[in-house]
Amino acid sequence: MESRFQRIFLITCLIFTPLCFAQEEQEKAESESVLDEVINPDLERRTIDEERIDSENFEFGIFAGVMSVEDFGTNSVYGFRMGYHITEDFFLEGVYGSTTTTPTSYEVLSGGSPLLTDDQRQYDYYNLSLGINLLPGEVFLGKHAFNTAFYVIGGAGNTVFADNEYFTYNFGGGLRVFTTDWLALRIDVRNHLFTHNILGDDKAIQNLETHLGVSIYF
Amino acid sequence: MLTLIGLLLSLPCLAKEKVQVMVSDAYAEMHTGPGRGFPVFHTIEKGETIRILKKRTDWYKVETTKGKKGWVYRDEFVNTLGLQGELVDLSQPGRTEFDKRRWEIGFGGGNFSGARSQNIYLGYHLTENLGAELRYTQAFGKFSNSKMLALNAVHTPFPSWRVTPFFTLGTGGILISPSSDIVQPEERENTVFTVGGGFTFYVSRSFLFRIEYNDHTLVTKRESNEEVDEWKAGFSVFF
Repeated sequence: MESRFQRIFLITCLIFTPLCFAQEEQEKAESESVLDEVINPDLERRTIDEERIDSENFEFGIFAGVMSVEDFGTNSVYGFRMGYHITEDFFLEGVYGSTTTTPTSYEVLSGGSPLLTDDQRQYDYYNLSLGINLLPGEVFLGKHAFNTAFYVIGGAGNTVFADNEYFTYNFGGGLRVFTTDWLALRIDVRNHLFTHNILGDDKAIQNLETHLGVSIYF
Repeated sequence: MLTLIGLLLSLPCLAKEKVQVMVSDAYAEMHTGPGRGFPVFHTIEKGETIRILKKRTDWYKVETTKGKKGWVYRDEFVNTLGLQGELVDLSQPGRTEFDKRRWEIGFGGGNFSGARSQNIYLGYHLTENLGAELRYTQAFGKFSNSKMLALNAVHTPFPSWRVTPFFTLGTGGILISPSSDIVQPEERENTVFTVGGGFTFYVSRSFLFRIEYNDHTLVTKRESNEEVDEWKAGFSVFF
């Protein structure tokens, strides 16, 4: 009989004890959250990421130089460029350039009718190229040091000449001298290759260009 | 032209607020230029406070409290905290950024129904699955040259795959000009409808590689429309 009472008592205890503990835990949690609010006020933790830092990966530049168009003389060339620096090593660059060609030696010597009209002598090109920066370093001018980098570049584009358009490959290289972080002087040498048939048969020509330019980074 | 240059020159002035951080690595190396080849001329000690002025590619231009300015590589900021204990997240763009990418710019080359072609495009992702693309294509054939400008809707059904398939549907215009040595050169302009598909390969950082096939239907005044198929491959950068 006694053992039966004991069992009932124990079972009741077993059932109710966890409930008591649970209630206690709940109260504890509540008081903790109140404490937490007092100790750690609702501060907004901002993260610092790329968005808050000014980036300068784009480049815009103008240039002027000389361009030799095979058979059609060497003349001044002007243009502008837009670049995007992907990594410290690679960059993409789009260039638009324009030159006016002069008569071929044959036209001058024969004194016959000109091959092209004045409008047709206008030579415009645009291209998109991938460049690789090589040999980074510094040049010294008096006590000032300027950052420099050589680059090689190659790509493809379009040439508008003599009322026609030509698929044109280009490759070359150059030197960049940074006068400040965002201003650079550039010397560029480029070869433009395409095939035309203005003189009768198909002829693959190479047109060399050298120019000086100035670029800003933004 | 001058106004454009003026506008561009004013851009560096619109600098954002400068971010201050504390170096928590043992030290950070300061280079004279934004590249690993430029000489190290200063080291920043642990616990020193620096201001981040700007960045170019993976390099940050910083200024110490003593006024020294130089370039520090991205990886040196891995465990850095802001002055108020903010987390500094200057990690390299990775797969997560690829999934969240908004703008995409790329170029490529290919075969435009036998002619050599090159193209450049600008893409904008509205959601993970849906985007829009404006593409300019130029093709150089034996008998004619073509220029095409088209606006495409791009659907990416499985954006989380490593090699992601996509489908495009769009419309635009094409200008075909025959080579001038053919008699009676006459330019013609057609409306073009495009369907296509391809695969995007996420290479690393912010680079993509794409291969694509397009079927262009040129709407003509003749009895039957013209069909042009185009294969192309290209390289893109997202940001």
